[in-house]
Amino acid sequence: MRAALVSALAAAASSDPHIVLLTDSGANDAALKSFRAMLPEQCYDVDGSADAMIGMAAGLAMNDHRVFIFATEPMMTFRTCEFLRREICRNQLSVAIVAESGAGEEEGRESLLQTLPGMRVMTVQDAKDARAAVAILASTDGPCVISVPGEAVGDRR
Amino acid sequence: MGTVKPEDDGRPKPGALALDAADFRHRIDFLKAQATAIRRWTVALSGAASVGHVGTALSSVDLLTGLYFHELRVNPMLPDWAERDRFILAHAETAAALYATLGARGFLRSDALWSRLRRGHAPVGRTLAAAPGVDLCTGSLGYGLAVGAGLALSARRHGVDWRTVVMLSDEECHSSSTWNPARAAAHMKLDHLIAVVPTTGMRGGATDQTRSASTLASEWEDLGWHVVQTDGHDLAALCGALEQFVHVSGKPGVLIAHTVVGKGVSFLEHGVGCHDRPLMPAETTAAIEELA
Repeated sequence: MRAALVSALAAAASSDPHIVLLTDSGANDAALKSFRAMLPEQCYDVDGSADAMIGMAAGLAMNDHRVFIFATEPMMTFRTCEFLRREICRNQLSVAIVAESGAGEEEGRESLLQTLPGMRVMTVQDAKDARAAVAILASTDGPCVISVPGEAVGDRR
Repeated sequence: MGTVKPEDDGRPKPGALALDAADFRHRIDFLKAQATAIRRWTVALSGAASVGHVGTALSSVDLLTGLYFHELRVNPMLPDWAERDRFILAHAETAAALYATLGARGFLRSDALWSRLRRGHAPVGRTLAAAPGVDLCTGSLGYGLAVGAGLALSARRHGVDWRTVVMLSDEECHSSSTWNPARAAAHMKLDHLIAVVPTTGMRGGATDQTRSASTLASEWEDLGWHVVQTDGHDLAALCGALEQFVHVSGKPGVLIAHTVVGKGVSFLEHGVGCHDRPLMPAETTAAIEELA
């Protein structure tokens, strides 16, 4: 599923140089490697904490970029929500966070995220959903969390 | 009135400090006068809003004066000028000093916000994104440098040469939310990103036992930043220090400025125990009189 999302992003990013991916070293599966090989100028490895990635995404989005964050670190610490609320949601910046759900995690996360002002939450279940989500986000403004179902390790190779 | 051109921003042209001795003294005297006026307004705005951190705000005034009256490419007639340098005040507890500086520089004078600030009807504990001259709404500590790094990266991607300056506290330099984007910025060679760190040697109103200024400088250098240190209250020295970053390429820069809490007000200087409490009305009056 993640591969389908990255593939859809690659298609959109190939015609829009303002689409940028931020990743950390843990989010380094085959799909992202392929994206990085195809569009190296639109993919940045920001190793470190989620708050650093979110802050950098906010800075990019303040200057006409659409940013997609891929991170392995669990995003749901309160401090991260504070960053999301204050920098991204308050300013309605075009930042989309791809969050992979695990068993029992998604309900608490998505309900909390929906309380953030202006935050959209999309749940992607298949390739068609993935293409639709990217199409919407590439043409509309505002923050979003894209929840994708967790995958077995084999799916990432 | 003729058309305002962005380059007519009132900022001294490059090399302004390479003046003859008389012009140089005149320029520095002008900056000192601005700084004194900004100190008065910092105390007045803090008193009107009954907010604390006055000592910290006063310690940043000379830096803000040097930035807004000498170094930053900004134009108060065109606060949204696309080619302007961006400035982020990460430690927004000193927002009163920024508002005072923006007022002195001409961004706020005719704005309704200035009237509200003077009456204490607008918050000065954080920076308001709607205020002319403010590039980012800040409040809690630790957010500014990451956003600044993102702005600097976006400028490079657009092929433009405006700079991003982030002023953050030495207290924020205890946090991973500062060091992580600092590491990323060095890795990306964001040489149009400048951090300014006024270091008072204090933390939370008491002496910082955990780190000295030299340790702080080493930490930034180890991450790959170009480090310049200066006296944060010597306007000639700090303007010269800021000009050095124009010649740095391939790495971001940090100015570590040695400052004094409460600088300019005798009973607040080196103030221990007055970190976050608002001044009493009598203290506010006494401070303004001393700064006259």
